[in-house]
Amino acid sequence: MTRSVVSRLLLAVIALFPVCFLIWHLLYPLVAGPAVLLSKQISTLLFGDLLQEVRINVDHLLVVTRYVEAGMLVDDPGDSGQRLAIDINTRLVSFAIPFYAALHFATPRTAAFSSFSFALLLLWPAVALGLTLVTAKDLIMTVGPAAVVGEQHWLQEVIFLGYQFSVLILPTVLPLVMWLLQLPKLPAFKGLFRSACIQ
Amino acid sequence: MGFFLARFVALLSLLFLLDMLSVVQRRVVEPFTAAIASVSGRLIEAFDSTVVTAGRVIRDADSGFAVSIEAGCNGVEASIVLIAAVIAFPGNWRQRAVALALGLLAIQVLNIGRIASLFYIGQSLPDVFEWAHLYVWPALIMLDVIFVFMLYLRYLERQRSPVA
Repeated sequence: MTRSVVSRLLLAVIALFPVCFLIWHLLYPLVAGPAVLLSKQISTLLFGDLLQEVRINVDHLLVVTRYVEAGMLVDDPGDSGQRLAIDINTRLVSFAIPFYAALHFATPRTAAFSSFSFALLLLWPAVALGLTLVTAKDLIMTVGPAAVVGEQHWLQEVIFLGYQFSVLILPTVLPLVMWLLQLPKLPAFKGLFRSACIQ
Repeated sequence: MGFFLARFVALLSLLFLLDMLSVVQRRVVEPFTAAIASVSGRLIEAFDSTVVTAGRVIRDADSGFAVSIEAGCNGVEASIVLIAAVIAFPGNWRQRAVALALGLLAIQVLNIGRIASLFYIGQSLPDVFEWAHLYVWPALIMLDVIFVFMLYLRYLERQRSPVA
């Protein structure tokens, strides 16, 4: 029984993996759009005084700074004043969504679509937070830490740490943890987690 | 059950925080990444005489194409998830040690496969390289963790209730 459940799960994940990534690729604004939009709003709120505009271009977030002159943000640019544009690939973080979708829909469960909707309500803000940390890191690297975090050097460290977390850990670990936390509650997998329940 | 989940999340958080400390990166993760690059490079060299490995860089002498093995390409994040899950789950230390030894080996075998495949994808299918490198392979490596952990759970279940 358990053997067949595990084998079927693994085969289903492998089969759904390309399907979910293809849907994510083709319907990106629908699948990841809310997360990108939320990230745009948060970035504008947090760094609005540094930015000229934040624009969404399908799967990229284009962040344009105010005029920069000799490494300082200025209101009235001289001849050498220029705006800097940061192009952020939002897929770097948002591939958490198709990865979770493959795990979710491969798992035998009832009301799979409604529970996936709830999962999206967790995934979208997490991806948005990750993208905001990527934006913050790129702003520090582009216009300098003084303009972004002022004298709060610890905040720069937090942003760099958050950036690493967002790019290296969040996209793969968050879906896995979300999925694993649900597994013991599903009837098909209760046998596997029996000893954890006994404890 | 709640105890397992709480222990898993706590261990995961602790290990990731340790992983991100600069001293751990400098003393453990970076040498480990260099070792993974070296092993991958040597393995590819054994089959392809045009490949040259120097430090973390694996390069094709003919095309000039090169890949550098960096943080995120070393399987450390996947290993941390497996370690947290196996230790958090009830079992004796012998069972855990065997699961971790085999599981970590499985992750690194697949990771070396990832490095080798990306080296050749980058040369022959450059348009696919970004997809394979940034999205598909990281998810596949994490799938490997799931496979190993599920097999471990199945093994524990068999130990508890042997078939007559």
